[in-house]
Amino acid sequence: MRILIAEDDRYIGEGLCAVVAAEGYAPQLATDGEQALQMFHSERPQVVLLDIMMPKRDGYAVCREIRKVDNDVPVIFISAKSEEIDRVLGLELGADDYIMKPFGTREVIARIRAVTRRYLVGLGNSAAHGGEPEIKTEVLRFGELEVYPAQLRARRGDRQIDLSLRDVKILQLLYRHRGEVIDRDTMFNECWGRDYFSNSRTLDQHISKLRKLIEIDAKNPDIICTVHGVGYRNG
Amino acid sequence: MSIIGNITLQKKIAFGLLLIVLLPVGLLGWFGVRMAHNEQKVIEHQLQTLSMAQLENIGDAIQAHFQAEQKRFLESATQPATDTEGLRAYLRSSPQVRHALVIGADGKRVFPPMEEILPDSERQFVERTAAIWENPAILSHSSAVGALPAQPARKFSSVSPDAEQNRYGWYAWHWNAQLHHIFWWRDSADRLIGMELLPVRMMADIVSLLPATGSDDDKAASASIRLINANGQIVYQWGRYQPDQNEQKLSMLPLSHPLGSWRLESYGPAFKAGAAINWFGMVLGIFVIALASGGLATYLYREHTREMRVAEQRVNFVNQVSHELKTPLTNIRMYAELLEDELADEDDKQRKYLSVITGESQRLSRLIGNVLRFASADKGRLALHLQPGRVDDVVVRCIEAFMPALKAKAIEVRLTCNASARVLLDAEVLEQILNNLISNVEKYAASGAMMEVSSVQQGSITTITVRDFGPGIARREQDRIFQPFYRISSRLTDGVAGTGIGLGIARELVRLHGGDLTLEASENPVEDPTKEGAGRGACFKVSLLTEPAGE
Repeated sequence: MRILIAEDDRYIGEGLCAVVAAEGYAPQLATDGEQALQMFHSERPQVVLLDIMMPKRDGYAVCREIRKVDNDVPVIFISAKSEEIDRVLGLELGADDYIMKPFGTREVIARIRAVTRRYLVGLGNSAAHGGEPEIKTEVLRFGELEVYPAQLRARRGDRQIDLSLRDVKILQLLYRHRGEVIDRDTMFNECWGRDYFSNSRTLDQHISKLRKLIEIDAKNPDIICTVHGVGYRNG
Repeated sequence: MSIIGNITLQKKIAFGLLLIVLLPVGLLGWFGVRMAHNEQKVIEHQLQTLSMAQLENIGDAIQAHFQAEQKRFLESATQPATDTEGLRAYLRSSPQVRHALVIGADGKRVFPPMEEILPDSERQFVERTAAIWENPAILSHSSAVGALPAQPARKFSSVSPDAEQNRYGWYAWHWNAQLHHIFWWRDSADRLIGMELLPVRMMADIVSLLPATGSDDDKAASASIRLINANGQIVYQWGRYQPDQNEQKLSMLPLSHPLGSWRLESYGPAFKAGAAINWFGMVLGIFVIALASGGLATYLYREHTREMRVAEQRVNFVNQVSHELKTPLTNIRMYAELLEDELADEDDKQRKYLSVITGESQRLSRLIGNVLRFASADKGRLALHLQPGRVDDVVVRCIEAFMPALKAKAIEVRLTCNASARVLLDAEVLEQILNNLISNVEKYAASGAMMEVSSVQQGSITTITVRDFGPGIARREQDRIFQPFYRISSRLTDGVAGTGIGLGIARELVRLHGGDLTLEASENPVEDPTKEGAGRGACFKVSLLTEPAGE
């Protein structure tokens, strides 16, 4: 999934890119309003993060232009001032959510997951849409664990587990190849993408975190098992 | 300070200042009128007294004149010129006396003589004194008769005849619309001798006693005095002043016997002029005072608006700076969290360092949030952004954010969540409320080593209680802790930082959310929370209006 991030502060922009990339999205960064509009038209992102105070064109104007061509794409505003948010809501620009500075990564992640769920559920309901073929709506069962990919959630008994887009992709890959060994490169290419720059620890760390979420005992996993020197295997 | 709030405040102050100016000026005007009125009365009274004294002097002079006449007659009475020829000769030579009468001891007329034909003047005298001849006793018994006392009499002192010393007296009567006077006495032979004064001469004598017209004395010259006879006719008038037809007299003095039916009247322009001058002075004074206080009020108003503007600039500056702080703060926090994500499980030391950065940046965020909320330009129209959500989610999120700090201070958390219904709430506002309460526990109640947070929902009311087991809050402090800038202890030794606005903001926000924030009465409130072992803790109860939200 592609996310367009329009933010004039370079560090915030890059930081947001890193946050959403770690979640499994493909971020694109624009540093002013004009560029944001150009990139929206050329890249057709599935989610837009818009700072309000930007050079050339402010967030309100960009949102208005986007809504002229696309009524459905989720738009999340970023602002430092509650007055600006009041205005966003007052203008009825069709904003889906907003994030107030200063924010933490968890807050950003929660908002993005929320709009992603709405987007994916919407996709599942309209079968004609072919925008995101990677995520299926079928329920994945790993023993006691049930994974609902389109809701970015899993359930173990009564316990609900929030998952990232990448977590769901990994679990889908493992589910598709139940009983088979998936080597590290395949998993990396499938779930991170070929052009994702990373080191070898990225995959291990992510699997480690995912195990903490879904396994009963992360030290002795039985959903994501390590095949030493090769990769991972389910079952 | 919102613009609307400013306008009403400005209006209030302008109105107050206007009142401060108008009220004293109005009162001053009222008192001025009263005083002018009183002063007029006083001057009037003084003038009356003055003119009365003047009239009394004149009255005394006239009285003295009659006394002198009386004395002269009594002295001359020892001369035995009482035979007809003698008397006639005396009458011819006397300038004051017109006629005389003598009545014998037997009551018979002796003079003018009965037996001879009288000259015209004597005959007319007998005619106009007919009443006396009929009954000589009226001289001594009539009320109009009396002897003047030897001392000058006051105007009202009676000069009624003395029955025992009925030896002499004045008799006055009207004949042909003219006043006539007779002085009578009884001689050694018990004859009754009367001398009629020449009216013209008497008038001339009286007039000569009156103050001279056109004297240098301004007061006398500007006034006017009239001598009025029994018929109300002006007998004589002096003084330059010309009173109007119906002008009120300053004072009036009825003359005493023997001019009993006459009176003196005084007229003067004095008090009218005096009053006019007072009015002008008073209006001028009030105008000057109004001008001065108006100027002062304008000055104060200007000063105030200037102060307000400066204060507003400061608030705006604080706002601006606080907003500017947000971007770097976002970066610090976000990158610290990103770095934390990159860490391997075993990097505990680095993780700890990063958690300090994250925690402190969160503390800074809360501080900025509080400052902005406190100095908010739109305090009056802070709007809630109600969205469907779960109260428990927000509670858990807040406590999680505080966990590192609470752990660092060894505060155990007991959480009881019973508010999981989907309701309409402003998560940001609720978060700020809880942040303020939990950060207070972290800052002030670490000694209790325990914090209990519980949530309950009943209908559309959600109640969240945050209880600590720290030193508690003394009863005398309980009302003041919600006041801005109030801190229970600012002692340096406490080593606890804070601004003193947290609880006030929390309560303001709770009320914005349709509820209230209260400090629950502890079972055993402490009077001195610094005492060892006195800690009972504090319990804050947040009640919020949370309407249920549809799925």
